[in-house]
Parts: sequence; structure tokens; C-alpha cells
Amino acid sequence: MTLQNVEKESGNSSFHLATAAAAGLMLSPESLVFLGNSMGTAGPFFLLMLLGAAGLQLLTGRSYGILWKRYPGPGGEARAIREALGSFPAFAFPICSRVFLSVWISTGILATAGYVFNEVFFPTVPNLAFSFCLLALLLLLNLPGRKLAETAQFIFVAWVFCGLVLLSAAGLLQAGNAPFPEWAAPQTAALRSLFPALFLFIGFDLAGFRGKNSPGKAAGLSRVMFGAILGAAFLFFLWGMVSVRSVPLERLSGTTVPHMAAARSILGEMGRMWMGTVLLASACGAVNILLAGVPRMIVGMAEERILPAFLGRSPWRSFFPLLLLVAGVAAALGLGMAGSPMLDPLIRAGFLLWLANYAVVHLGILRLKIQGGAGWSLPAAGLFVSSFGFIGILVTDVHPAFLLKSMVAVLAFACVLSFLWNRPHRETYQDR
Amino acid sequence: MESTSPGDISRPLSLAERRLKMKTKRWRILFLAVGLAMGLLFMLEAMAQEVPRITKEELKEMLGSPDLVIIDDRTGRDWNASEFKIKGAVREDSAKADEWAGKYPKDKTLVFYCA
Repeated sequence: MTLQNVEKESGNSSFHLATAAAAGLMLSPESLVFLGNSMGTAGPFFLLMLLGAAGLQLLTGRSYGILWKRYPGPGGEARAIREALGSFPAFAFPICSRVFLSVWISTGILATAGYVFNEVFFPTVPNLAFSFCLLALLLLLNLPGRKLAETAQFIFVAWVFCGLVLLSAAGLLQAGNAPFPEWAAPQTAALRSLFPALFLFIGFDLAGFRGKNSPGKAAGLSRVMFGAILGAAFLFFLWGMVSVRSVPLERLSGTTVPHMAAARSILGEMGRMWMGTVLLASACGAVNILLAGVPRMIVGMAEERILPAFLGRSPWRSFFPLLLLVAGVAAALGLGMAGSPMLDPLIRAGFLLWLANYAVVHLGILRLKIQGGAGWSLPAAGLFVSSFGFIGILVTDVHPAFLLKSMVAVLAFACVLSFLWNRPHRETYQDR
Repeated sequence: MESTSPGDISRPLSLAERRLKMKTKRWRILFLAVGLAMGLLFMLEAMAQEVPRITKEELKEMLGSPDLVIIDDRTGRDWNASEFKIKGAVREDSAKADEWAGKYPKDKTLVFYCA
């Protein structure tokens, strides 16, 4: 395939589709729950943390922009890590972080969507049946190829964005001159929600797995990732501000559905239904981009011979990885993982692994000496922030031992697989 | 002389391509078989559960009775994602039933809310 063909293929994907892909995971229902609870616990102080976390993740977006300029394509990230740090990190971190989180967070999100559909719209439809139907629908969206899934992704994300902006506008009008809660410094308990603010801006890198990006597309990808992070930050800031003005802080921190409480307080039953549609769109957007992006990353890694080649040689390209991922989520749903109290810690462990992957990317950029115009300071700052955030989240979490054990178990499993796969191919890599 | 490009579908398949096609077919069959087996397993499990159920209308009529204890044993996302919580229900973890089973008198009507 010539470079022009590659350019043409990737040129079909426009800015808005790519931004929707980058924003999908950030605007998941999990983010709305975490945002509402954190606003209730830390108060308006959390808004500052939110902006800080967005600023810090922009550093990671910049590093990815640099990386994809030199190593374009869905397998570029893993190839760069392999050249900088070796085969094991290249195999383990991208796969462990994304596949692990995809399975658990999709299970949680689909279960949430099931409850929303059942409780807000159709009580006669069983929640688990709806979760399975939604998973099947998203699988069907992704089977024919990129175009349909990406168009749907744009509609989902646009719905979430417009829906939350409209609800926020209604909330601001309704609140009028209502007093804003005091900007007090957070208590010790509230510190627990400060470090995980970084989780709100994880997943923007999924925009890089959309197709065969040429080096020329990397600059566009940087703009896409920055746009998605800033857009999400604006939306969270707006909704957070409206939430604390509409619902008492104690109620926001105590409820498991703070967004519903805020929507109901703003527009009553209509607000609740409106928020229901936003939640369904947000669930579809988050799971859809994981089903679209992660299998393409696996295909890209197979093409780079970091994963077994059969995963990338299928006539339908990402058919096998997509089915594997969907089977994993379906199995988790069917085995009742949605009702397990361990699901949320597993999702946090997945986010932590993803954050660790960001740290590995920053380290790779430093090792490869492709820091871009600003020298080594920005990737080094990104590495520091990701590592510090990782440790901070782990130390302040309620289940630190479980998170650590989960991550070690996944990485150890990846280590064994990596050893088995890489041993006969090591010479091939060096020759390439 | 007629040339064939790699994208030409009328070109006869090479041995390697035929092998890849066979391999792909085998993988698809395996996936379908695993999927069917999993579906059957879930169906059997669902059919095996014969727990007496109560409708919400029946429960509504019983609300307020001193002999009624509602135990909400939803955990994880079943609890977190639901907006509805029954007033007066006690939360217990079904995984730790041994620890709390003795707390409730046997002459009371226990209603479990699990999903």
C-alpha cells in the first residue's frame, strides 16, 4: 500500500469523528457518578482539581502526539515502547491496561444502562436482558467496519454533550441567585477523591487506534486529543458547578446516582428522563469506542509481531479480537460480576494500569529522545505526574491491597505470555 | 500476458492463503461453539433456579406489617446503579449469610430483594 493510499484512507476520518472517539470513555456514566460524589465530598474545591487533572493529562496527550508522529498506526505505541524499553513492557502494558479495563468497565457500564432503561423508561424489560441486547447491538455496529461504528460514536458523544449542556443551562437558570457552597479546603476523607480526578481524563488515546495514521496525521491527532480533554473538562466543570447548586453536598456524596438527583432537582421527572437518555448515550459511547479501539490496537500489535500474527491476519481484520472482547464482557455479565462488590475495585485497578501505561509512554519518549521542540521537560513532567498519581491513588484507595494484587496478577500473566510468545521471535525482532 | 494483482479476487489462492483461510474458518467455528456452549450454560443455570417470587403489588400490600422484614441483598452495580431503594429495607450481603442469618426470627416473613 502506497503512502498516498494510507493518507487517503486515514484522510476520510474527520476531526469530529476522531474527537468523538477520544471523548467516548471520558464521558462514561462512571465519570458522572465519580464527579457527583467527589463534588459532594470535596465541595467546589474539586472543580480546581478537575482543571488541574485535565491540564496534567494534556501532557500525556502531547507525548502521544509526539509518539504517533514517529510511530504511526495502531501498533505504533507498542512498537515505540518495544524500541525504548523492550519486549515485555511493549506486550504487557498496552494489552493489560486496555483489555483489563475494557472487560470490567464495559460490564459495569452495561449493567448501569440496564438499570437506567428498566427504571426510567420500560420497567417491563429486565435490566440484564437489556444489557445483553445493548452489547449485541454494539457488536453489530462494529462488525461491518469502521464507518458505521464511528458515525454512531459521534451521535452518542454529541448527545451526551448537548444533553448535559442543556441540563446545566436549565440548572443555572433555575438556581438564579442561589448561594454557591463555600470553597473550603477539603477534609482528609475528601482527599481520597482528589487523586482519582486523573481517571476522569483517561481514554483519549483511543483516538489513535482508529486506522492507519500517517505521520502527517499525528499533528491532527494531537489537536483531537487536546480538544477531547478540554471539551470533557468544560463539561465536567459545568455539570459539577450545577450539581452543587442544585443538590445539597451531603446528598451528592451519599447517593450512588448523583447525576439523577441533580437532574431531578433541576427539571423534575422530565429532567430524570432527559438524564436517562444522556446515560444511555454515554454508556453506548464508552463501550462502543472500547469495542472499536481495543481490537484495532490488538491487530496493530499483531502486525508488529508483538502479538501472535493470526490476530492480525483475519480477513475481517479485528474480527477475532472483537469477538474475544465481547465474549469476555458477556461472560462477566452472565456470571453476575455486575452484582459483585469487587467490580468497582477491578475497574479502578484497570484505570491504574492505564495510568501506568501513560507513565511507560512518557518514559519511552524520554528513552527514545524524541521529545519534540520543548525538550525533555514535558515528557519528564508527564512521567512524574502519572507516577505520582498512580502512587497517590493506590495509597488513598479503600482497597489498596486488592488493587495491587489484581495488577500484579495481570502483569504476571502477561509476563508468562510474553515470555512464551517472544522467545522464538527474539531474533526476528532484532533483524527487523 | 495477463497479470494478477494481490487484490484480484479471481486469482487462484496460494497454498499459504488457503491454509490461512482454513485456519480462520476453524477459529470461527471454535468461537461459535464456545459461544453456544456458554449460552447453554447460562440458560441451564437460569432454569435451575426455582425461588418463590413476590410481585411488587403483593409486597406493597404487606408493607407496614410488623411481621415483614425486607432484606435488600443487592451489592456492586446492582445496588449502585439502581435509583430505587425500598424504605425500611435492611441491607445484608448474601455472601456473608452465615453471619446474619440468625439475626432474624424464623416466624417473620423475610422478603429478599436481589436485583
